[in-house]
Amino acid sequence: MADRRVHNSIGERFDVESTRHEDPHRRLRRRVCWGVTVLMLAGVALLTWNDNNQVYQARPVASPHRLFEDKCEKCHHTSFHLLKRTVGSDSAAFQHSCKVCHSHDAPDHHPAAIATGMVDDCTACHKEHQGDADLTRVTDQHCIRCHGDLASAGTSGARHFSSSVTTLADHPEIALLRKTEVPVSAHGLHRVAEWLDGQWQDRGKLIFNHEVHLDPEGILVPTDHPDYDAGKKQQLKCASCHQADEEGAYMKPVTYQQHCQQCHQLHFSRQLVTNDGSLTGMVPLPHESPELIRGVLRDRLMNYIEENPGRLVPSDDLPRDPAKQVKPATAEDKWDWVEQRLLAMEDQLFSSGSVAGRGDLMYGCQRCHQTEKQVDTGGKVAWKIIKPEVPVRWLSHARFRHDRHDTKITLNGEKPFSCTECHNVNVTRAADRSLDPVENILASVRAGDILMPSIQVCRQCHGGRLGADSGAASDRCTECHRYHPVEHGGAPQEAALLDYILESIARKKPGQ
Amino acid sequence: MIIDKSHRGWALLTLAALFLLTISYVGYCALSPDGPRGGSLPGLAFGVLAAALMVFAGLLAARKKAPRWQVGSAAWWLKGHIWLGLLSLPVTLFHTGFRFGGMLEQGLMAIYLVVMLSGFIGLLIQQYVPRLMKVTLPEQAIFEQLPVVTRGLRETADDHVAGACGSLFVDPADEESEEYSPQRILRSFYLNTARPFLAEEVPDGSPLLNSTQSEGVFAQLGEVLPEGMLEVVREVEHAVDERRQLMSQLKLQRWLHGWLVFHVPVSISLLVLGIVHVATAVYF
Repeated sequence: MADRRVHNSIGERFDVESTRHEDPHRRLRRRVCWGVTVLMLAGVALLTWNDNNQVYQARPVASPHRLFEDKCEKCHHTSFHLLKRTVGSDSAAFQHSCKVCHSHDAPDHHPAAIATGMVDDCTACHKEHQGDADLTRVTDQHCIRCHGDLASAGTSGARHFSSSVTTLADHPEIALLRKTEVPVSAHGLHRVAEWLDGQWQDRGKLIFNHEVHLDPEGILVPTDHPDYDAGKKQQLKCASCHQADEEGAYMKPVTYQQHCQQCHQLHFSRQLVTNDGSLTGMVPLPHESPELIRGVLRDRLMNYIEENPGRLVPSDDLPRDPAKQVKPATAEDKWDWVEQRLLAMEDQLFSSGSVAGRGDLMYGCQRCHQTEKQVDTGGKVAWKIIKPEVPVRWLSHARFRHDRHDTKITLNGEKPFSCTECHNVNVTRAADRSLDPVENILASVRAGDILMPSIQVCRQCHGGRLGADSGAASDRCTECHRYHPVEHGGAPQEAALLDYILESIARKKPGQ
Repeated sequence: MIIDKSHRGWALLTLAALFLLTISYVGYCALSPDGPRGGSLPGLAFGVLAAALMVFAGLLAARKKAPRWQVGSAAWWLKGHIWLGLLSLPVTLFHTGFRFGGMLEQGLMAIYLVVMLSGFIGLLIQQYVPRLMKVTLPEQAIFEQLPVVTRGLRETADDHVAGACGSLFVDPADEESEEYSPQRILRSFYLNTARPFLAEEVPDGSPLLNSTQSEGVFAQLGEVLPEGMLEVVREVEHAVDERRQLMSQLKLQRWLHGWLVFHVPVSISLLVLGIVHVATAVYF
């Protein structure tokens, strides 16, 4: 388009004076700028006035810390923390504020981590302000920092552990199933197992046979069993004895009263005392210590001889002359009779396995327990039952939840897990050294067998890919492990929390 | 500012910096056990760099306030504003680790994205509107001088019409006469239709707003006027045409400058909230 301007000269089209008047666009822009600035500053001032610091948080704190979310100074005990931390000032360390409540959560398996400067403070691993995240689920890199090359990390226990674990694939076999001994001080597995004959064995001190109890064809149960049909064989399942705790995480300990008593009643055997069967109707013996059993037996024998004093005189010694009076038994005679039989009964109960009779006294206490006879210098005999040590947790360095493993996600949908899917592979066998390791939990005949699953079982799902038969679960270290698994009471932390709550209440209600 | 070959240096510099920074970020991510975080040392470094880039971009306004400033030309600052401002976006994301933090950070990020978006829109406007104006509006004027030029057009037209009609003032006796008077017709048309159009505030229903309609109006006027007055009619028509172009220019100029009314205040709010972010991050 042609330029046909009416005025072409600059002088005609430009007024110097007009430059002195402000451009309305600029004026509007400047006013909006000032308005926005004032609005922003007013908002910040209002937040500061109301002591509302939450708006400045990078992200919300973890739910356990929500109670003091608006009290930054509870954790940020110094100002300009970021600057101090950046320049490496010790006063910026978070240990001080964390330990107000977490006084007992000291590093356990490497106490020198902070002392040697390997980590700065608690926040080196536990990152707050990540929203409602579990602060204990640190990333693998924190673990690998030492466990990637444990020998170089300078830990004293390095020689007892795998020197390099960077992924689940590198994870060594579970210590219980390994064929290497570890000193007592170096590993927690001594709490649940003992090194015998070149392998780890359950130190439960019980005598038990899984093979018999889990016989696929079932086992005979007493006719008076409240849960099963009289006289028929019943097939027991794992869950018949192993039940999850209230949280669903671990299996509750098997107890005689809950899991054994219904079938294994401690009926008093007539073979012990008399042939007339008069004592067999008595209630079963209590499942108590040998001392208590001795008291019960003595009581029953005494009652028996009181009611049957004729038992004191042997039939061969009865007077031939009917006119001749039988000398009545004295208390001393009865006592001697009772004590004499008591010793024999105890021998049969605690040591012998050959006494015939009803119920489990057929084999005495050794049916399930290991017993020990103690004779003092005066010839007094005392029996001791080796206390069973059935652990609640087998893997003391790891954590596990059975309820999270009741089903698995596969390509073919959700599938239920059976117990033997995990507790079935590479079980070590303590019963017969000549045999290969038990590959089926149903073949275990001794309680000494370690029936824990191998790490290979874990790897089938954890760290794998979702398949038709197995699920893809996380293989993070924190899936199973914690850095601070020291068992401790909750008292100090709870006390600190209680103090805080009471303090908060007092602040809100100053008049009360 | 038109993006042309003169931007090649800045573009290459920006791409090279982006490449190096991306490599640094990837390495930083790989070495960070908990992933990238704004509070970590590399995260802080990215944050400081992002803030520096934003401040540099903001210095364009200062440069405009000081035209005699000898540190680089205005064009150089504008190029830096565009390219380093663009670079600040990935650097900011590297600082945040591609997360948006809490309320303040989310607000800050939202405002920052609005600034970037408005800047990008402004860049597009600056890229295409001047070309459009150059092609369609040959009779442009300096934006700030539009009222002056408009006033000049009207004065010139006044002179032409007054010269042809003797005066622009209406004689009541002449107005009431029913005799054919070309002067009266021209003056009447000029005062009632053309002159209001040459004012700064154009009446909404003016037939001269539309170029085709305007052409018809002037053609009809030429038919009723004698040959000797047609030159004046053409001069008025030229003035009206130029005025129409100035109006179109004003509309386009409003686009050309109007986006800044949004971009600059939002940038100011970004600056204010950025300072609050830095202060609170450093304090806590």
